[in-house]
Amino acid sequence: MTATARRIAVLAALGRNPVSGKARPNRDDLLALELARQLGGDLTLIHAGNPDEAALGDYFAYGASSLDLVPLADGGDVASALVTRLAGYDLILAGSRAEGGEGSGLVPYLVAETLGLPIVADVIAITLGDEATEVTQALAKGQRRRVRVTLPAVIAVYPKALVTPRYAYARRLAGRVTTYVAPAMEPVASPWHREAAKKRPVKFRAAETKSGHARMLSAIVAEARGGAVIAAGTPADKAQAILAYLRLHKLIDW
Amino acid sequence: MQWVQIAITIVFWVAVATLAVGLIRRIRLWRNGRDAPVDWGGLLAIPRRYLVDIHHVVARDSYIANTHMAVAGGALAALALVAINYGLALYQPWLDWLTLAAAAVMLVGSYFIWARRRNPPARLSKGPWSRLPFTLAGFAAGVIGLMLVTLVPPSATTTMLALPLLLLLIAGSAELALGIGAGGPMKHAVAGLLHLGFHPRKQRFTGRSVDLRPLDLDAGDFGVGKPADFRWNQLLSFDACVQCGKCEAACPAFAAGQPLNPKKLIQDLVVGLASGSDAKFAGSPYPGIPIGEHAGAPDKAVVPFLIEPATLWSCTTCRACVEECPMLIEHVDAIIDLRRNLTLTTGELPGTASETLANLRETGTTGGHDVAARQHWAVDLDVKQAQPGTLVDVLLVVGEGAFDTRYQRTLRALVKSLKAAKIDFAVLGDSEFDTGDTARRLGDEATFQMLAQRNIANFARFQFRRIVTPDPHVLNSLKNDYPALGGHFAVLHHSTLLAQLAKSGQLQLGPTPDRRAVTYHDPCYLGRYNGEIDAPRDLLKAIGIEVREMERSGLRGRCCGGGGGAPLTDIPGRQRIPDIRIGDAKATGAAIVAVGCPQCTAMLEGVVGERPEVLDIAELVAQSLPVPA
Amino acid sequence: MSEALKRINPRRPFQVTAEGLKRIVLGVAGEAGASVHVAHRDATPKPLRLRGEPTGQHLVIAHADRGALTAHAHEAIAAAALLADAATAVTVLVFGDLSEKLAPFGADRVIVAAVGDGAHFDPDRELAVAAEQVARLAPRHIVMPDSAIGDGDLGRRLAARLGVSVATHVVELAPTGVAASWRGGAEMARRDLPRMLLLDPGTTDLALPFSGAGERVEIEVPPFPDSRYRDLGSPPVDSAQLGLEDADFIVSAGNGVADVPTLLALAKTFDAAIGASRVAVDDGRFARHQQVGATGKTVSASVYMAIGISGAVQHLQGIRAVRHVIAINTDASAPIAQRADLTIVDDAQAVMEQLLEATRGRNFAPGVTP
Ligand SMILES: Cc1cc2nc3c(=O)[nH]c(=O)nc-3n(C[C@H](O)[C@H](O)[C@H](O)COP(=O)(O)OP(=O)(O)OC[C@H]3O[C@@H](n4cnc5c(N)ncnc54)[C@H](O)[C@@H]3O)c2cc1C
Ligand code: SF4
Ligand code: SF4
Repeated sequence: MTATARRIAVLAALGRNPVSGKARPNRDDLLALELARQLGGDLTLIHAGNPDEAALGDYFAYGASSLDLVPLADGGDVASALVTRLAGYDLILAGSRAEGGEGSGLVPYLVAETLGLPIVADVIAITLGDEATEVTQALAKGQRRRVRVTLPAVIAVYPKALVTPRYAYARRLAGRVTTYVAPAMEPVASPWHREAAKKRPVKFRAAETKSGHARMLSAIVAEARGGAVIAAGTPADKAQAILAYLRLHKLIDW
Repeated sequence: MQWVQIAITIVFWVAVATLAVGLIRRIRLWRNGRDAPVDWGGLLAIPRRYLVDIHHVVARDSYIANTHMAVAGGALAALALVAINYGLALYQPWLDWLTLAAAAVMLVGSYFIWARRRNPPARLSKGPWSRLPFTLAGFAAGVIGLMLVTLVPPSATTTMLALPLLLLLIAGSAELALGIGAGGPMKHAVAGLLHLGFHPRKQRFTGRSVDLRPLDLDAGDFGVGKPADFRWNQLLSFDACVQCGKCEAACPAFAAGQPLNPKKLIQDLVVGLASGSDAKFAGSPYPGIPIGEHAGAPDKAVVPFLIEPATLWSCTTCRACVEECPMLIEHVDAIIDLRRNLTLTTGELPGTASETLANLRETGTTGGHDVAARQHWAVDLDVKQAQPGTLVDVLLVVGEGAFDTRYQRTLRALVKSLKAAKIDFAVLGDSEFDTGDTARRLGDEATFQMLAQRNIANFARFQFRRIVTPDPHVLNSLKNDYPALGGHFAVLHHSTLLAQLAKSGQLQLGPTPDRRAVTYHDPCYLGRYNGEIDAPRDLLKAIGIEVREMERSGLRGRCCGGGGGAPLTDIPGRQRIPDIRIGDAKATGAAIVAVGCPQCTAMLEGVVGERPEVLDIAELVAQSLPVPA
Repeated sequence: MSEALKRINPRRPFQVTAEGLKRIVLGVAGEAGASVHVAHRDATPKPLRLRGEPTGQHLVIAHADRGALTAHAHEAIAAAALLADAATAVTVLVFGDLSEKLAPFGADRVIVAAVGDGAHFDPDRELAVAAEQVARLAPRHIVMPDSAIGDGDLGRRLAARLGVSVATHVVELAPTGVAASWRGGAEMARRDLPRMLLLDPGTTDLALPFSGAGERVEIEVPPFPDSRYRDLGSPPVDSAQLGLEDADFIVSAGNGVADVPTLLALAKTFDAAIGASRVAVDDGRFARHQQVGATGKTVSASVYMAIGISGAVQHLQGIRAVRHVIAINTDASAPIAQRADLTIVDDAQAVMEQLLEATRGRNFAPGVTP
């Protein structure tokens, strides 16, 4: 079996529980890890970030056996740090988005570009061949697409891929971390400033042209989000109200 | 008839030797298990444990209690007499007479066993167990006959009868002597007695004992993956099973057609310890799983070769099986031990159990809620939050139900009563985390210990006299599971506190305005786990409600299906457990089922169709508070 | 005008007009509030935004599906137009066949790269075209819809290839800067305008006071030599058969739905997957794998239509990640109303039938996926 001899790297970010903010393995990356585990082969997890983060150990509980750690200060260039450890892999798997920080979903693309590898995103299944791999991509509305891509390649896993990462505490104790020296990198000040999320972001719109009444109307519509109750009217009116709502939020196109 | 006497002596010693060899072989199998302290003193306690603790269980069925007394008592007496008279070759006729009498008692008992087995309930095993009345009767008849042969003057008739009688005796003795070595039905006699002496949970002989053994995770103790991972005295305990099926009849999961039968589970573990397949099992199978497709050995993984995971995940940890077992076998401990291994080494849990465990690790709540939202139900109630440095009488631990709009009604009702009784109480607010009960019952000892330690440290920040909780799972966790981890608290269920207050007059209660008929459902974690079956009933009585008892109530109450993480693993069956329980309630004609647990509330309210209203005791009590003038 | 200053309780039940507009304001009705289709409907021509010869441009890139762009892509064009000053043109590069006009959304120049089927996966080829256009046009900003599939993918490829400053998952933008959702929406982060912007849906109002010039050019795209990817095709999938976890639109039935065939027809109309409450499953009306909730599936669709579902916590646990919950229930005080973004208080059967009636003959076209 050539497939089992494959060297597979899984890029792992540090995630956060959206409710409590507690550090945890990144959900999307766990899916990548689980898909990689199902492929078999020689699997290494690679993380760039704070080497003292205890939650990284949970990746072992989820089935990784070894973790290559590239120390990186907060806000550092993750993709460049990762690339220092990515030579010689047949397959590099990543989640779609990191939930811990920026979560731009760019890292796998930057890694692929730097290494000159092809990249396929939104992957839900992988079959390894000798020269190439066949993957299934999830498209909108549950559609699927099969794509053949040459190896080595970068694969970003679909966030709703139907694999179930399994947490087993015993494995957590058995994991092995190798910490590498931090790559020399110019510290760059992040252009971003963080703040708490707003309930409703402000829409980008043309300078006011509507009548005062229209303005008020649209304000009502915006405010009514999160709990409009329509009790009066005929069922036909109400059916129209549902369609209006769906249109307003661009959930249907007719 | 000298030769007959000598023959009996020979048969006796051969039987003893056979038994000894068999016992040694069996001990070797038990010794495959892990070490556990050997409590030799327990052997001395066997008679008391037999006569008191076992009798306490068996006496619920007086027919079988008397029958067993006759057969076992008769057999033991006869054997003892034969041992003295023939074993030592005394050959005293007066001892023969006594022997004859004892055997006669045994024979009568055997008849009654046979009578019951003519039309046996489904819970009883067939197979070798069906021959038992005959072999036992054969033994008794053989003894009686041979005693007569030695007592009456020799004649042609006695000579002619002696040989067949001797064969009868040999056959009967074989049943008794081979049982332990060959795994026959009479194995239970030897293993059962030893089990009483070396019981893995000896605390149960001095009080209620339901705490789970903490695992030493750092030492790599991840529960039981193969039969040899059980402690040796657990293996011994499985051998004590008499396949009476009392556990099967009590098991809610079995009744609901889920693939669990506690009796079969114990027998499978016997198969595992002795190596073999389950093909010879002659009782009811796990619903939906055919017999004969599973096999085990001491060093072979139990799951899935011997037992399917769905079997383990069907259990609600209600302990009904343990409560009923005449051999005092601890099924739940075995199931939890097996679950622990699955959870800790594979993490493969069905349904939403894995997600729940992740929630617990990441948010400290089973539902993945924001702990800051836990006290939202009380925003308008002016409920104190515990403050470090300020002593309160009662710390109210509200539990996971606080996130459920339905259960919030119960909490609000409870607060009303506590205020009426002028109790000085406070809640924990956003520092209340789940106790870890669900994690522990799902086998996730790591998450349980993490939560328990966090909670113990958190409780240490506050000064309070006692903890009160409306959630029996919280109660059980804090009261029984935490001490082993260093958390010692005085914990009361809200019904216990309210009943005390009502009794002392501190809580003035009028008659309930609701005149509908009421039945009371005992939460397993309150009743069976913590013995509290009176306070809720006293409280209902205090507000003028006469409880219409369901057929299974009190310590023998039937589970609602909500414990042990079973609603999360949600193993399909023919029916849902709460449907059965609501059926019980309907049979009483009650219009209200009183409960004392958020889980029971949710399970019973989840039943579709016409059903009695489900109300917490706290709600019924609050309705009966006198209206302030 | 004391009338206009009066605060209106947004939760107050309001009237619905025949056009489906909410009528909470006393008296006046019929003025289009925030309808998406303003730009389409507008009969009077709007003034052109561009004045004179442009000195630079913004580039928008998007895929067409069945001849049209998604509303999400329309927003990207409108955003680019709103960002542009009077001397900056908005050029739109479209992959696939395009039959709709993009001028109403502010497009001044439309380059249609006929790569055949826009859904065909050939990223090296598209990337080469996009990079070439960027090199040729030297746009000030590149704006793209950050859709889960297609544009979001191409946008990231392009960002990585160009090595430019980029903001993804942009939820707010203005000429002064952008805000993006971080930590999966728990946080927001701001920065100045980067060169490249990938916009989440819903950032930009499509009602524009101006129009684009809308010139159209078509370019030939040579096949990419030695592509490392080969599209092996897409097996057709029936939405009703979709795994609920995967579905974007779910029509879900509870105890209040007696007529299953009507519900199924409704689901078909919306091309939606079918969910159910446990009661509906226990009754045998739906299969066990269709159960949503604590002991069923956890879903994360954009739309969840809860019909005759009371909204017990165990059920709500399964729909925590849903964007838009629409409830139809006879009981306005059912807990689902607290979770729902829109609650219709009425008999489920009647509303379902009216919905079917109102949508009869309409062809479903894919909406915006998040
Ligand atoms: C441990 C546990 C786990 C559970 N897990 C789940 C789960 O995973 N998923 C789940 O769904 N439930 C679950 N439940 C069950 C849950 O508690 C509720 O019982 C269930 O969700 C209620 O389903 P329902 O809303 O369809 O029914 P009901 O509670 O009967 O509500 C029906 C609703 O329909 C409305 N209605 C009635 N007639 C009409 C009509 N003609 N038109 C419009 N509306 C009408 C009513 O006003 C009512 O609000 C669980 C329960 C327990 C105890
Ligand atoms: S604890 Fe309850 S559910 Fe589990 S096996 Fe025993 S009786 Fe059955
Ligand atoms: S385990 Fe106990 S109750 Fe169950 S069959 Fe065996 S002896 Fe009887």
